Amino acid sequence: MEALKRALRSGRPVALWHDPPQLRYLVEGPSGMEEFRIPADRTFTCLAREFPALAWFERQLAEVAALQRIGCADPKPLRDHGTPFPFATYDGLHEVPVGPVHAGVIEPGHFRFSVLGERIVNLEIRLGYQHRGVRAAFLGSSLERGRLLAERVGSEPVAHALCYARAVELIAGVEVPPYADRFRLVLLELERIFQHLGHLAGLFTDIGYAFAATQTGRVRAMVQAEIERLSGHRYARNAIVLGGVAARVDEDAARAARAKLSELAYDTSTYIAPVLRHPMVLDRLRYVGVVSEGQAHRLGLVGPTARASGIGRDLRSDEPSYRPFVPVTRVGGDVLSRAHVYLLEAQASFGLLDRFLRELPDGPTAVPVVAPDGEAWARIESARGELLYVVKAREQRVQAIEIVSPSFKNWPALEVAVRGGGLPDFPICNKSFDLSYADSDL
Amino acid sequence: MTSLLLLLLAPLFSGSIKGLKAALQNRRGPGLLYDYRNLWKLWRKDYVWPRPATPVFLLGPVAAVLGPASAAVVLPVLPGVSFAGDFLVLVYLLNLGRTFQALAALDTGSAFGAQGSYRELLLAALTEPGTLLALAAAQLASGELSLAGLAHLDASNALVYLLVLVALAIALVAEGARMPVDDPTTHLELTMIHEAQVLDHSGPLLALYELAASLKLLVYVSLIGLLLPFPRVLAFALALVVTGVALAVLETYGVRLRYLRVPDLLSYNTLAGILATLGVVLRLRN
Repeated sequence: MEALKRALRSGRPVALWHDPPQLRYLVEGPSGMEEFRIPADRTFTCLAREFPALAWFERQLAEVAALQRIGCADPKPLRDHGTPFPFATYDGLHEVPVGPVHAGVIEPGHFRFSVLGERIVNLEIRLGYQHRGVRAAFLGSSLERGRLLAERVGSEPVAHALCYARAVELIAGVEVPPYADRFRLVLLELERIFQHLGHLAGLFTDIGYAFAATQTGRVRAMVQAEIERLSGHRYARNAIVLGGVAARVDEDAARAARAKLSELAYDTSTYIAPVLRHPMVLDRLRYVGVVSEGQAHRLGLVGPTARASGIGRDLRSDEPSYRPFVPVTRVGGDVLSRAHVYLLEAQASFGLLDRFLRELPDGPTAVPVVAPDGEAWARIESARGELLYVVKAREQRVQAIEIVSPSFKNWPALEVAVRGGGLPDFPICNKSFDLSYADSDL
Repeated sequence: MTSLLLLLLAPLFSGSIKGLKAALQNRRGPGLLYDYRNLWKLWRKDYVWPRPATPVFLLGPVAAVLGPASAAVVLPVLPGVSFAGDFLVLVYLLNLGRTFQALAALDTGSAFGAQGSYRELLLAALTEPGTLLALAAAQLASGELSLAGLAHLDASNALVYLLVLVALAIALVAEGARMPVDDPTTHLELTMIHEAQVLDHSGPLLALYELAASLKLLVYVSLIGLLLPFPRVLAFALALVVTGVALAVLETYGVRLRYLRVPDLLSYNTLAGILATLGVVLRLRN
């Protein structure tokens, strides 16, 4: 326990899950990943008071593993709608309930604001409306079916499929052929551009800048067309298989895709980049929804959100294929900084794609995967941040699975970012984090 | 007469702004007659009655249309009723419609309705003095107290009239709930001003609100038209085209103001109104 606390003080929790009869903590510290196993039978000790980054994990444990919390500062449900949610109320403040049904076609979530006039004093988020029993669906399914499920967990099918496939391949001890390894990264970067441009388009729509939103949406749709050209599916479903990729891209298609992508990279720099220099756009985005670097550390944030608050951690730095790689970092922590990170990462991904597509290696597309009984975890830097799959296989089936999505780690940041801000600015704050409800509700 | 004309033209006006916006964004628009079809579609639908609502809930949309429609009676685009001080009647009939709209939104008991109401009433309170002063200045400069007696823009009153036009243009975007004050296309409840008030109204009630919104815009467009140095109907048509294009361009290339900055914009409306009045009183001529 003391070693765990020491690690948490200098590091960041990556995952916490119950693997009976123990709790397992993955903590990334300055010297790499450390794992801690704490016995827990019916109860466990909450550490969230000291390490707020664990708060949502502990709320999840209480529901998923049915463990009693000891010393819990904030005993709220996470996804369970069977128990009433103890919303904080303040004397003399107006309560504004928003959702779970919204006026637009977006995912369901409930937001409870305590406002003083137009100023947000406190926000509480209640999720769980998208809970579909993803963990239960995985259990006992074949490893191949697990891949199909992973593609449907959230809105990033490539990242989820790749992360799951890597975990299974680690169990099997196989190395994917160089071609497959490279082509998977092509798809991952395409998905990153697609997602990031989506965040930007949403942001521009929300501030009423119709022209910028349409242009961003256009480039995004054309990136999606390239995903379809290279993978055969608009979201690249079924392009990644266990042990490799489904098919080889012929040279003509790769060349055509490179040409089109360089055109789109040009459009991004000409039509989208100047939007973030427009004075009225700056007025809307700057100093809104600030997450300081200290808050980002304490909350254990990941992905573009963390990088916009000055934490230069990008899992792609660890992958040899990406080298040389410099993570995009901004220090403002506000909506504008996050928009900059999205834009700069999308632009960098265009560059990476050009390199990857030019150097597609020869060789087979996939190797057979026969997994012995065992367990492994894999991490991917998805568009939203660090995605983790822990897979336990037994007799070619999924025996246990733990999915920690970046959104799950970043949701608490939204509550912090909007405090003290104006109520009408909430939607752009929310959009700037672009959190997925589906993959944190599971 | 004018009321009828404006009622008939209102959906065409809002429909063509939509079409123009779509064209400016390289999209294919919904067609000029879309808003007529939309109103007809909504009119035939059923509506939902919120549990805590009283008959005020029904009165809101009705008054919202009747306010601008009756205000238009005194607008001399086509020959109609005219009397001294009718511009005051016009402004306050518009306000009457809005008051009932705010009450109807409060009546639903929803947090968004209340939020829309207090925001819209704040904007109304900030726009009213400037608009009134500007209209009064135009009347005084013309030496007549009825809208029908308004003189055209010419060299002798150009300074005052320009200020009046500025005040009216700002009032148009604020009262008409258009960009950069309000975004009529947004689906984000928390940023809504006008739209938040109508969230709970559906079917024919929503149709009335939609009609009322474009009708209100047209009343301001007609006011602007009255000042232009052309025959009444021609000036009206010209104001219609110019305002429509300006709104479409503004809503495509403009960014919505932060809500807390809106009063800054509206202060220019008040300022223009005050300066116009001073201009008349001090007999500034160029």
